[in-house]
Amino acid sequence: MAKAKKTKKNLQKDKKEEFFVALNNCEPIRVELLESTKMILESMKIFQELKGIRIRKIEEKNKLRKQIRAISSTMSRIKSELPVINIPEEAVSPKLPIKETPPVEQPKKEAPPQKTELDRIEDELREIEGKLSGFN
Amino acid sequence: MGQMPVFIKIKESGNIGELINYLKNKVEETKTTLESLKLLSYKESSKIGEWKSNLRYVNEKIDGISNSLLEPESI
Repeated sequence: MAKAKKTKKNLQKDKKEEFFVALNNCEPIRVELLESTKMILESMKIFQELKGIRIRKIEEKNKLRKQIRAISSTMSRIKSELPVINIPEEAVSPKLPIKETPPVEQPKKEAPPQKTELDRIEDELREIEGKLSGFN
Repeated sequence: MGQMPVFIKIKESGNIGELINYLKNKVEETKTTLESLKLLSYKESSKIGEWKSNLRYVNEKIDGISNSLLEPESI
C-alpha cells in the first residue's frame, strides 16, 4: 500500500514537469536535423580517412628510418674502404699561437649518461666539421 | 706548399663504385619518402580543417534547433 502511494506521487510529480512545445512549421527543423546528421556522418568519414593517413604516415616514417640507417651504414663502409691518409704538417694551415689558460678545476665527473642515437650523430657531425675547418 | 694534391690507391675500386651508386639510390629514395610524408601531412591538416568546419556547422544547426524548441511563443 505504501509503495502504491509512492508511485502515484512520482507520477503526479512527473506530470507537473511535462510541457508541450508547439511546432507551427516543423519542416525546417526536420531539414536542420537531417543536415546535422549528414554532417556528423561526414565528420565520422573524415575521421576514418584521418586514421588511414596517420597509419600511412607511420609506415613512411619507418621506411625513412630504415633508409637513413642504410645510408649511415653505407657511409661507414665507404669510410672503412678508403685508406687513411696522413697529411704532412706543412700542408695543414699554419698553427696559431695557443694562449695557455690556467687549468680549471673540474668538478667530479659523474658516470657519463648513456648516449642516444642523436648524441652519436651529433658527435660525428662535430668531428666532420672539425676536419672541414682544418681545410678552410 | 699550400694545398698539395694527394693520390690514394683504392683497392677493389669496383666495390666502392657500387657502394657509391647504392648510396645515391638510397638518397633518392629518401627524398621520395620525404615528399610523401610532406604530402600526407598536408592531407592530414586539410582533413582536420574540414572536420573543424563540419563540427562548427553542426553546432550552428543544433543551436538553431534548440532555439526553435525553447522559444517562448512555441509553448
